[in-house]
Order: sequence, then structure tokens, then C-alpha cells
Amino acid sequence: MINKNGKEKKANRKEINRKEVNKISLFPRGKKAMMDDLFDLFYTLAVSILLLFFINAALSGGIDQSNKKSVSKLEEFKLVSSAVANLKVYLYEGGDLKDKDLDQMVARSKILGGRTITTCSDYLYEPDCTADPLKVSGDSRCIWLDDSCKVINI
Amino acid sequence: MNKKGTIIHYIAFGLLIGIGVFLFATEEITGLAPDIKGQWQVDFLKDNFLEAEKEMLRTDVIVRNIGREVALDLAEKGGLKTFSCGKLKGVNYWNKGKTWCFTNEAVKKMVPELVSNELNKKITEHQFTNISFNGPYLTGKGIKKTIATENAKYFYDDSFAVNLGYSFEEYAQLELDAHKLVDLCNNQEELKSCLDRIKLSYWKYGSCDKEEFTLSGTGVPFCVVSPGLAYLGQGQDQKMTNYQLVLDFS
Repeated sequence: MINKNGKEKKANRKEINRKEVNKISLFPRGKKAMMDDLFDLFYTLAVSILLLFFINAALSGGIDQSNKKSVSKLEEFKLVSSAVANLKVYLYEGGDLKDKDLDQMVARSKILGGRTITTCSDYLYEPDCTADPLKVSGDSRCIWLDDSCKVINI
Repeated sequence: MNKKGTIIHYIAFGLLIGIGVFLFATEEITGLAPDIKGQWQVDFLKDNFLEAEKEMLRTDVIVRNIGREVALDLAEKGGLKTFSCGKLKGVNYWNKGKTWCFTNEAVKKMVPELVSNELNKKITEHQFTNISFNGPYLTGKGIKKTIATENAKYFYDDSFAVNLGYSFEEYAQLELDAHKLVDLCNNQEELKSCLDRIKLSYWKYGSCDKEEFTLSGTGVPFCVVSPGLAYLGQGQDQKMTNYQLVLDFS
């Protein structure tokens, strides 16, 4: 009898323990604890989003800036390179560069309609040539002669 | 939330603010922004390659001016440096009878010498070698030069090949013409009519501006307009190349 009762008690205790375990996993520590965990979840999410936002903004902003600077440097190089090429062509075509400051001529070069203008002969059209909007002629003057722009000393 | 949890929460916010400040500071203040793509390459092209190109252009400008000055000076002297056959009113004789003081071969040797002498005066840091001309091109061999910057070195050859817009080979044509005139009209009684028959249109008597036949003894002065109609001189002072010479028909 005693043994039977003891076995029953043991079985009951096991059943109670099993139910307690189930209770803990399904409804942990009451409502306040549940709210705390939920807040932790949202907090972690918010911090992660902000962190990623910062990193993304920093990286993409940096890359954009880097790209802009690269393009700007390349434009600068292209301008100088085209100006030097213009002077070579000018010299080859019989232009007079004696006593001219080549560095100044290169520095004074500008872009007009996508074309680098270094000397008068780089203007392709008569109105541009005669107006010389970029003032590349310096102390001289650009004149339109024989379908091309030429420089004359005043 | 307990005290420990609160601290951890604030640390997380502090960390975020710290990252923000760091990124702002690195980009705007310390200049430690991400590297510019191709910065080294573009700097190399700009500070080394283009500087070398500019230097070569400066050399070309100097060589072209010297070449044209030598050409003009030589043409005015009739292609002769010395007057071993004599002079008539300051103009060199090309021949004395069958003896020729002018030869195109002499010009071929003389021009590189004259150019080299002038070049060594203008560019003193080194000498150019193998100076020669081929058609309108004057060429010369330079040395290997270096343009060094902080992070790069660029080596280049400063040899030149410049278009003078004028060919010293015109002297070969003039030599042929002159030999033909002297061979066919030598000792002719009617020298002028012989010359009129044979001489080409760019051969003028006396002056290129005002043609006038004069015979001084056995010598006839000529002005020969450049067969290639080449202009020499600089800027506004450019003029058609004329060769002054006297031929002896004794």
C-alpha cells in the first residue's frame, strides 16, 4: 500500500514538474518580463538600423565624393593634355611660339563647346573666332581668314 | 530595467554618436576621406608625363626657331658660309668658271653644324647629336631625361623632329638649275637671250622685287625665289624665301 502511494506521489510530482517546465517556456516570468524582452528586441533593431544607416551614409558619401574628385582631377588633366596637344599642332602648322610663355598659354586654356581652346587657331567657327570669348589671344587679335582662325599681332 | 541594463543601453547610444562624430571628423576636418580613385595615376600623368611633354614642346619651339633663322640667314648668303669664289656687291659667287664653290653636299654638312652651334647656346644642359634634315623635318638625338616627383619618376627621350615649313633640299634643285645655266650659256655672246631661254621662272635677274639683268664682268647676279614657295622669318616679319647668288659665265 505504502509503495503504491509512494509511486503515485512520485508520478504526480513528475507530472507537476513537466507542466511547470511547459509553463515557463510558454509564458515566461509574467507580463513585465515579456515587455522588457520586447523592448530589448525593438531597441536592438533600432540601434542596428541606425548603425547601418551611419555606415552606409559614410561609405556611399565618401565614395561619391571620391568619384567627384576623381572626375575633377581627370578633367583638369584632360584640359592640360589637350592644351599641350593644341600647341603642338599650332607649332606644326607653322604657328609662332617664339618668346611665348607656354605654361601661361596652357593655364589660360579653356573649354568652349566641348573643345579645348588654347590659341586662336583652335576656334572652329567665325563668330567665336572674331569675338574671342575666352580671351586666348592676349595682346594679339583673332581674325577669320581662309576658313580658319588666325592670330595677328596688333 | 535594472541599472546594469540601463548602462548598456546608454553605451550603445554613445557608440552610435561616437561613430557619427568620427566619420564626420575624418571626412571634414582631418581630411582622411577615402582615397580618390586613380589619384596617383592622374598625378603621375599631370606632374610627370605632361611636364615632359611641355619640356619637349619647349625644345621643339627653340629648334624650329633656330632652324628657320639658319635657313633664312643661309638663303641670304646664297647657301655659302664663306666667299671663296668672291663677291659682287655683297652677294656670293657660286662659281668661278668651271670651279664651283657652292655644292649641295656642303649645305648638308653645314646646316647641322650651324643648328648645333646655335642650339648649344640656347640649351646648355646637354648637347644634341645626329642633327640632320629630311625634307622639311629637322631631327636631332637628345638624351634620356628624368622628371622625378615625390612618388614617381618618368623617363623620356628629348630627341626632336620639327617641321620647319621649309626644306634645305631646295639647294639641290638650285644647284642643278645653276649647273644647267652655266653649262649651256657659258661663253655665249648673247648671254641674256640664252639665259632667258633656259632659266626657270623662279630665277630672277638681280632682285626678286624688281627684275633687272646686269652683267658685271662675267658675273650675273640672281635672286631665286624658293621653288617650294617657303616663307621664313618669325611672326609678322615672315617673308618669301629668296636666295641671293651670282653666277660666273667666263
